[in-house]
Amino acid sequence: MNVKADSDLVKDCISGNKQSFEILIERYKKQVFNVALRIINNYDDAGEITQTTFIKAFEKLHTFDRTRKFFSWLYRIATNESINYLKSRKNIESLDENLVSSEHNPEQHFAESEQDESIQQAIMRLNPEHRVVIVLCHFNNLSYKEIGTILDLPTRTVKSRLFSARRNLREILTQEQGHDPR
Amino acid sequence: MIPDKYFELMNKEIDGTSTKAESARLKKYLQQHSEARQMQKSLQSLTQRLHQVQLVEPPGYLQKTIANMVSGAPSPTTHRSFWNDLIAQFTPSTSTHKEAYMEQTPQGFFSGKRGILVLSGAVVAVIAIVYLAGLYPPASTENAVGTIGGAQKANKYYSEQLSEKDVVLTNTQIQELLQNDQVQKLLKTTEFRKAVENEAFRAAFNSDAFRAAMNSDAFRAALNSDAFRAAFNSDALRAAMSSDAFRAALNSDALRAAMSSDAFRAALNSDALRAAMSSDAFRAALNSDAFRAALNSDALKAAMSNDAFRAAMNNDAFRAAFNDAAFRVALTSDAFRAALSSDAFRAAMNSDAFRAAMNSDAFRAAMNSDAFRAAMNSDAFRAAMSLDAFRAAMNSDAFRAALNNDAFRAALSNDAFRAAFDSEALRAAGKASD
Repeated sequence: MNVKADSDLVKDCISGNKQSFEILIERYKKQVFNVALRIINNYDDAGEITQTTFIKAFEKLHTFDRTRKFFSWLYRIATNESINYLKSRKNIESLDENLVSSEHNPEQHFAESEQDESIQQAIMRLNPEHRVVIVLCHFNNLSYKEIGTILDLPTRTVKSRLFSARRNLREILTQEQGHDPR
Repeated sequence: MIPDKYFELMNKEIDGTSTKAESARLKKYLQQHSEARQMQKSLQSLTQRLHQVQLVEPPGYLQKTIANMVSGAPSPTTHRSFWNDLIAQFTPSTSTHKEAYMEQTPQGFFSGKRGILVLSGAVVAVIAIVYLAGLYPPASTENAVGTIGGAQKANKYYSEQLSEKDVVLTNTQIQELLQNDQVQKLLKTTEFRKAVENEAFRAAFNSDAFRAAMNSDAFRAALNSDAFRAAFNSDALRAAMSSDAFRAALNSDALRAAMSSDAFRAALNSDALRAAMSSDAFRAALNSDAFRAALNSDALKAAMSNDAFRAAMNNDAFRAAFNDAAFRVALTSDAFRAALSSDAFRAAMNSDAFRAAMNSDAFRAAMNSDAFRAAMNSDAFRAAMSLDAFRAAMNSDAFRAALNNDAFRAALSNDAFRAAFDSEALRAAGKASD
């Protein structure tokens, strides 16, 4: 079966075929949801951000430059929505222990392995700039260049931010586990 | 302490982006520095762990909800987003159309860190109504009978700008809307402004059904009530608004009339009702004439303002019952609705046994018989319903099968038979069977 390229689906959708957009939702909902989830650490709100991301993408589809990658554009919207969410919850300045514990509500926390959860909690202790590059690089497997496109940053800055984020993350895990994360 | 340049080389090596020369340099450095080797191993382990983290499955409803919202939204080519356009008109920015998502999206439409949207409520109200009525963007400037001024220009998102010439009123109905105090009052409220930040709400506003509903006095009155506006901010109501079934329901006079009742609006403020609204079963029920007619009855509206009834609404079995034609027909009978307004019946509704019974075909068929409904309306029967023993009996197949029997239902309409339900003997029997 032929799998339609994203750019063709976007074109179909602009021509009035809304079902093409449903294919794009199916194709990227999991990744978009996980971008939001890993940045904000709230399952329900990540669902809402995912909805908002797709609706905004749909509304602005005619402005999308089809020579670029659709998923980069989508991730950009998701990332911005997630950061706005954090700002609206006034979390950006005080990502401290209290925040981590308040967001770690067992009732609404998503099911994942103990190891995944300890990584997620450590990620939540990074500042949002670092958190975003870790999420895009390691959970979405994007290159420095793709991350740069999404965040509108030069590749050099992406690298520097990513490397610092890893250093910090390593330190957090070392502190929490009392040993090096090896 | 590892110098930054070697830390960078370690990261590049891990990411597979280092050149041969860089790899050789790093190898040499690692051979000479045990601390660096330790760091390298640690980073490798960290990135491995990060790559092993599993993607979490998104909620099952997500695909359908987004698809519903998209299907109700205007096509990206034929209709621009009013809300984004509205921002554009009042956003002093030099960024270009293409850059719309190259910046962070605004936190709110009427407020925000950048302080970009200081709007006069009146201007927002007027422009919003023009749009809600489907007149913006205008198809033509011919036949103009009025204009609105005061919109400030800005250069964001679109090259075409809203001007006095663009916002054109073409019929008296729209002028009436614009002059409607309730509409203007609504659009100035904080809750409404907050609600419009939500995509589902905006998608609802973009639907024909919602705009048609805006034309009814009852709906506007509802929109203007504190309870209804507070409800705007609930996810469940917004999710309901984004469903086709709910929006189609908005087109019915019965639902709009219900919405204008204090009891219904108060009910909207309960989590249980809003949760019910976000269930497919409830929304499907909203689409049936019988249910909407029932919603308009004083008894059901009164029931809705009752905690026990609302708690029942939050139950899957009860909501599934809404989807059943027999149950909805029952809802239109005065006897059943009268039963709904009794505490005993509502308490019964809150019991698992009763709700399980409601979910059975036999019980719902029984609900459709006059004899059973008459029985429901009797104090004795309702008192019996509040007995655990009776409710447990309701949960048995034999009892429900009996309910389907004409003779048994006829017996139910008999005072003596019903009184027996409330007898000490039955209670004792119930306790003995526990």
